[in-house]
Amino acid sequence: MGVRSLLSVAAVAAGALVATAGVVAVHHGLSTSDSNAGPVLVVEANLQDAVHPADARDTADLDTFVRRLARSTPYAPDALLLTEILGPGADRVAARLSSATGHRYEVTVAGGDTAFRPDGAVRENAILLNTDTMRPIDHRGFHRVQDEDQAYAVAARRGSNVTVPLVAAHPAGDPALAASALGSFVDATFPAADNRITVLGGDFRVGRCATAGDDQPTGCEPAPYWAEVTGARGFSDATYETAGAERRTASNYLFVRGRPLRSAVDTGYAPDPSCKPAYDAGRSASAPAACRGAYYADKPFSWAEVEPGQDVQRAVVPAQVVMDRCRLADRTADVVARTVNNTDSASSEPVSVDAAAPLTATPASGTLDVPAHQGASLVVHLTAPRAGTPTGDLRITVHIGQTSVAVPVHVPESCTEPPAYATSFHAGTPPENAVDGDIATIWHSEYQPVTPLPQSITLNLGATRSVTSLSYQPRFDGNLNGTILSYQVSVSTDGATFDTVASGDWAGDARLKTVTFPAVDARYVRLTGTKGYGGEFVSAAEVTAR
Amino acid sequence: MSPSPLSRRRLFTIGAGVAGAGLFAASRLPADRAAAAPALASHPFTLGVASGDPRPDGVVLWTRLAPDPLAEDGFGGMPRRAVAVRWEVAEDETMRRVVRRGTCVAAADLAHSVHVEVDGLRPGRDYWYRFGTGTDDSPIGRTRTAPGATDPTPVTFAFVSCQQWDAGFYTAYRDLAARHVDVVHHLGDWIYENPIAATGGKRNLATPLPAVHNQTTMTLTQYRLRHALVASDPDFVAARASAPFVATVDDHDVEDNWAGVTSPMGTTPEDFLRRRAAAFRAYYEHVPLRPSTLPTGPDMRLYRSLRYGRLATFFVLDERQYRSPENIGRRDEEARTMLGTAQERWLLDSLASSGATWQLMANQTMMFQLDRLTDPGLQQLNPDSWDGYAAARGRLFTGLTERKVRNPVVLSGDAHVNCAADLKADFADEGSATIGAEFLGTSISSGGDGSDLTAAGKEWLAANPHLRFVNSQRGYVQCRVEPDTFRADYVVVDKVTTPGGTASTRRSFVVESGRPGIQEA
Repeated sequence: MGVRSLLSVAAVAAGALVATAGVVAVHHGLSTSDSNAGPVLVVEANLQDAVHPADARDTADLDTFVRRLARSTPYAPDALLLTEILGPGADRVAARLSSATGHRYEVTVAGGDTAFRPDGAVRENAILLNTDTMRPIDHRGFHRVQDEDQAYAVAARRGSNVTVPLVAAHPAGDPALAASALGSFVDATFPAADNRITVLGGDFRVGRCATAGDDQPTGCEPAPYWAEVTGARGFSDATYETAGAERRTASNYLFVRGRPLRSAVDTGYAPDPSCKPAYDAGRSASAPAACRGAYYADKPFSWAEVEPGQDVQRAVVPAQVVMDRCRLADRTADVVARTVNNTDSASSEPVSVDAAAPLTATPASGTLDVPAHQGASLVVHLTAPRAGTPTGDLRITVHIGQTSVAVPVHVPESCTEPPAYATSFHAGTPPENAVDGDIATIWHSEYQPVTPLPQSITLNLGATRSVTSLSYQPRFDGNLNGTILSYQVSVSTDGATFDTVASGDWAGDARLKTVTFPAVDARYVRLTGTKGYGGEFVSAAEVTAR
Repeated sequence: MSPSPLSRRRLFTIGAGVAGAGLFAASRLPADRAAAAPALASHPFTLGVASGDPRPDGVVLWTRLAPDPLAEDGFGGMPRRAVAVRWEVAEDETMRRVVRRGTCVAAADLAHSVHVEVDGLRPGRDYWYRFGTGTDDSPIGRTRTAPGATDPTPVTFAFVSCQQWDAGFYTAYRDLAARHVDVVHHLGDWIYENPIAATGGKRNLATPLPAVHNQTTMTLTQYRLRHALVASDPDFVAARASAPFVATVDDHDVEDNWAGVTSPMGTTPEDFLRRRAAAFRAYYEHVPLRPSTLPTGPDMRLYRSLRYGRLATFFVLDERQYRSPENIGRRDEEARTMLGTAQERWLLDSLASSGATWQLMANQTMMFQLDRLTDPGLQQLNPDSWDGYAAARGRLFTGLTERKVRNPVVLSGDAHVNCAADLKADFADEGSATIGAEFLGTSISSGGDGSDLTAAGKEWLAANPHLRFVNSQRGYVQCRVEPDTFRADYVVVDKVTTPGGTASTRRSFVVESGRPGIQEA
């Protein structure tokens, strides 16, 4: 076909209600209305009910999960990909879900009474099927990756010619290596085929972005595992593309080789940290009252409705841009154009973004060159000057080949800006640790791999004010590594231009260092380390400007 | 189907128990021997032999079959099947006067490691041992049983810790191996979890290390490989063959600064426990621990006591599995714990009821208070050491005093520095009672060459009057326990980042029985 379609803003807004806006596909031959290609609804959850034996015996949290799940999906799920659950727990979920939905659920693959195998491997993944809608095919079991038994099964969608290979995964080590091993397993065992929807669900232990954090920007540098699964392996991250929850920090995913129609994350679920200990100890009845009937695990479940893939699938993420993040002088947001090429030959499509002032799209155009059976993304950064961009609603249009998608852009009153920036940081020691008032937590520049000096941390004062000193508290934990020995202090009012106001050397000890300089107006104060104690890195327990 | 942990444990017990009986006979028949254990493609004893946890009547013998120790699947080049392994214990180093022998099973489930509990030996004497499988025999190791309960013979031992493989050579172990001490206490950080580059760090390898080592260890396979790398070091092989080892874990055996179920990286407790289970499993497989120590998932019971005759009892502590999460701001909270309730009670009860002259605590993290700054009113304390658990330390010290524990001496590791300090009832009050002595031993290799007294070390001495000695070189501490005195010799090596360093005794201290606190030797 090849129709150039432009969705109206109204259509997108309406579509957002069912979380499908922003996903537009041009059909090549295969129609989604084909009655033999019915969608399947797959659930993924990390139920954290496997490691502590007492926790596994107390199934109150599993019952809560089932109750909440049954209320959340638009219809009874066809399959569940679970992790951190043992055999008896999987049986419990199947039984409770059967009575909650009136459908018949069976455990297709699950472990035993303990997660720890006699050979030291771990087995705590499980797959459940709705046998009213799915017919198990006798091809199931465990495939060991990183000394963990990953569960797999194949089911046929009843009343259709669609088969659904399912993998429930829980990497134990580097998720990139796990993704590679899982991808190879899937490619060898369930190669892409017509009317085949492959779903790889599980908890990959880390978020989508290479840099951990409370916010996972839509267009962040992806974690290597996510890049491989959605790139070379040709999967789509269903909730990233269709749930409107693309910036969530969770580590559990539904990757599909197929077309995600809609999905949701149980984002309304906000477990109170005080609930967990009682459930871990298998004493759910003694948990705080607010936990009972509410707590099921630390991470929310998600579900996705998926149909067989189209030759070339196109998606724009997110469905609606909200420019509620600032970075130095700009409001910022990302828009991602994605293509999955399910054909046997390479595809190439131009991408362009129409953005009118005050918005700037960078890059405004590009090309998605996608090898056969792979996916690719083009990240477009949107900026708007912080000063001079009125609140309200704007719009951009993203063109991928012959497809065009209008994406509303909302500029809200508020704009969240990090309290500190750093040129780099090692996982677990982000720049926020240097401005949290807690001397026990530190910012440490990246050292794996070696990230050469200079490295800097920039304080965001929130508003321009007069500044005349900077205090640097080196890490105070008994280790002097990274204590700044040579420094520069620079300041900026706009986040763009920085002027050096002081520089010098500090002693290699943990004492508080303070440098004063003539009063200067600043909204941002940057401390740059050009030499650090112990190697090619710098660290800080606290940095303050006065 | 693999046997359950329980049945595996029984198997070892049986193997050891019938040592002198039927299996003895079988092992004399070469044909049977060959049938039970076909020859392996190449020599399987590349990781050497070790012994551990001595009792008056026996020890644990350890080896692991690994013809290709760094095979990337973690199985050491072994087929995935059980292999019969012979063992024998003799009264002489030429293995002529064999007093116990038997066979055991090296199971693939445990990476073909064996932990044979030998009993029926005589107390307080040297033995030699070796293993065999097929046509291969292991090198001969030397071990020594603990003295009998009433034996007043002095005890010579060493304690070691922190052997980051890529930080330097194990020159200190080469020196230690020649001393044939009665027993070596390993206070943790047997391995480190960090990625190791192709150059092998300070080892500057001629043959690049494969990329599989250049990853943070998280899975069982990765921990097995890291242990195999460490275990194959020739100086460490020599040290383990020279004397029995008594070992406990510290943080790097799993992950830097872990505490209970808490990872400093913010991993979920469940994910951290999976990692802990893998790390403990590989640790068990490579350390001469008793089979009863085999971890159950993420749990491994390590704290224990070892009686060494009339003079000494060792209390081996575990300061990782049961401790509260680190939080220096909450160090004075009574609810927080370093040892966990059960271990703390066990320790105080066992200390109080010990009949030995010297109570020697095989401790991990520094117990004395170390303020790193001389500035009045400003303290810099380490949240990971006992300073981060000051209330728990106070309970322990109060218990030592109230229960009139005889001659407590604390042996510590973890910190990559030599220190000697008095333990004070109140570290803030220089005049308060001295209730014991602490000898903190430096690392085998972690930290590289180091230097004698750094500027920081000088400041530590100035800021902490109870601290008497600081040295930042590598090495170990050799101790001698006598009826009236406990002596500690700090052995340091002049370099570890190049081979061929020289060891020397840098400083010696004594403690007199009945007079807590350290004195110049």
